[in-house]
Amino acid sequence: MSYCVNCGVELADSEKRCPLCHVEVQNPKAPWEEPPERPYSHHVNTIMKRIDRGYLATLVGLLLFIPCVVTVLLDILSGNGLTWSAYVIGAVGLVYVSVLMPFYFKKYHTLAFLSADFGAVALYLFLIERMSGGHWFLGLGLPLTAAAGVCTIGLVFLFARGFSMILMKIGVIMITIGLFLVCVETLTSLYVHGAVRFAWSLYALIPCASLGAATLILERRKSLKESIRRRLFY
Amino acid sequence: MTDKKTAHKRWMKLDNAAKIYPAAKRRRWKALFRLSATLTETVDPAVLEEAQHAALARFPGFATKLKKGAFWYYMEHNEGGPPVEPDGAYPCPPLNFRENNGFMFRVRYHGKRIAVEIFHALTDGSGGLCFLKTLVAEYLRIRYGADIPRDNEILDCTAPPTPGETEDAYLKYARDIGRSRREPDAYYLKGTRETDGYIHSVTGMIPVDEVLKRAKEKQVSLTEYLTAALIMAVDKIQRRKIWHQKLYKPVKVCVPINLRQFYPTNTMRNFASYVNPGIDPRYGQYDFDEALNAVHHYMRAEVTEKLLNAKISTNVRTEKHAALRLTPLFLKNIAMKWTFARVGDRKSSTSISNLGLVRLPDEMARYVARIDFLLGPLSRTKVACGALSYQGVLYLNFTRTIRESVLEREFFRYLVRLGIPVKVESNDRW
Repeated sequence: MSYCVNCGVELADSEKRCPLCHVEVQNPKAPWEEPPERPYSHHVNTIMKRIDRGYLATLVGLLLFIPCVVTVLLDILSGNGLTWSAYVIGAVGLVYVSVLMPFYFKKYHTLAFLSADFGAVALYLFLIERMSGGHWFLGLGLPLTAAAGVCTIGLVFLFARGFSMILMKIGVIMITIGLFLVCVETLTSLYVHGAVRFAWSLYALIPCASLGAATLILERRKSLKESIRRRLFY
Repeated sequence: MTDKKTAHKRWMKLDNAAKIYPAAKRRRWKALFRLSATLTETVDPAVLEEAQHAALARFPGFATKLKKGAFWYYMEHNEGGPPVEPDGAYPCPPLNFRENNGFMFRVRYHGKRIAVEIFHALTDGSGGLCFLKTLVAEYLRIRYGADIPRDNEILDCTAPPTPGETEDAYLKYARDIGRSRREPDAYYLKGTRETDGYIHSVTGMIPVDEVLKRAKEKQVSLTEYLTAALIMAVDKIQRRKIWHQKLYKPVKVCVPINLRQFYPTNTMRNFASYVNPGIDPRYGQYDFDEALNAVHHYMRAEVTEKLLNAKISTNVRTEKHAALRLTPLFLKNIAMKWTFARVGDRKSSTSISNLGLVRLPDEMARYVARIDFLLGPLSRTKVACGALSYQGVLYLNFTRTIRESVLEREFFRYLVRLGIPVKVESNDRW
């Protein structure tokens, strides 16, 4: 008869270690021996296997390869070298990173995947800039992508930390959208005029922030919430 | 056993509670539960197969396969029986109906143990226990010539089934007025999912007198006492994992209620409802007595014929709704899957299903050393507990789909701290 020193429970003879805390049985008077019969057999049932997600992603990736090859061939055959087909290749790459890449991993690593998504968007914008011959990527494309990335990742982490109430979520999203729009105008005006000028974003920020604040207050006021629910039930 | 010419015509509708399970089932998950009896001698599989054949004659609901109609699933009579198979390393692995000859339950054996694993669409825990008792009685009759008296719980397999045994008691007893099922979502346990689908089982064996004595001191029932202890264990886990009190969610435990205690029915199909007693930790830290008080008064208020009837009446009214009835099955499936995902087991942190005290006649009890009840993995809830008492021992069987044994650890440690001796056994991999 052995007891777990951590949990204080008596362990059945079949237990090599405590099934609750996994501390090994230490009983000098009765060292553990494998019992003639265990509570369950050694035989592990062969159950239906999971669909191999990595295999599925590779298959879809190969299918996406077809439009790339076709467009590149058409582009080359038309005699202008690699022109418009580069956009298709870039778009396929973007889909691959944002949609298919997570399938190769067992767990969804939020920070890594979201960073990769926005990295891929930035790269695609850079490609467009190179192909179209502009100079807007460093001044506009990259900062806007980074701002969108920071807002999205921030929201995801905030929600993962426990902002689980729907009204609270809506409130935070509204305020973030308002702030993002201000950020967009700041960056575009800096790029176009070389100075910060606010024209339209404040008109967007005010309703977004007001609505966001209202929903956050509503979330805290249980009686008001209940009263609205009572009047609007269907 | 059957007139083969008419066998194909015999069919039955799924009962009201069963309707959700075929729609909610997935390739790798079906709502299963398991009942097992450990005998005093090693089980003979050939005799067990014969016993199963005999028992099936009295349980027409079990001798069926699931079929799809245009508007609803239904059960059609199925000849023969499922293969009696050796038990595996864990309870309730996904059941493939096709590989099981179409049957929605299986019979397994390991050493001295006979186990039945049943798809919830067939019956509930009480119906399953009746099937297990009858199966074991038939086994003992064939193996040892035991003359076991038959009653409402150990059925006479030479007699034909009565109409009452296959009735849908929900339809029979539901009334016109229902009540809302709406309630807030509960905190649910998270953990590392076993990639190979391994289901962990930890059994706690406790002298039932010890728990009953403490429950009586507090003037509550044994189920209420265990539920409160489980709530305290979940509460402790939530407090450790969630960083701010405002973000705590209610801790609730789903307690199935056998409706047969309220109505004169001997149905062998589903006839249970549930209640979700719990606490809201946002309002402060509950001690055991407060949690016990909350559970006790909630159960006293909720577990009444009127309120439980209103609960089942809501489901029956939904089933009877003309527009819903005329909706094609594939659309119903989508809707029911969605409903199950949204409501299902989101309203409780875990479940404890107590079948109560199991009694066997002396002629049978001398061959049966132990009886266990296990809930199969639930859809969202990672840990569930099945309980029953037999020959002075309370068997608490926890099943979980995650690697971490955190809930069982907190729960059993809590009981030990309350001065209750606990002996544990598991199917852990060494």
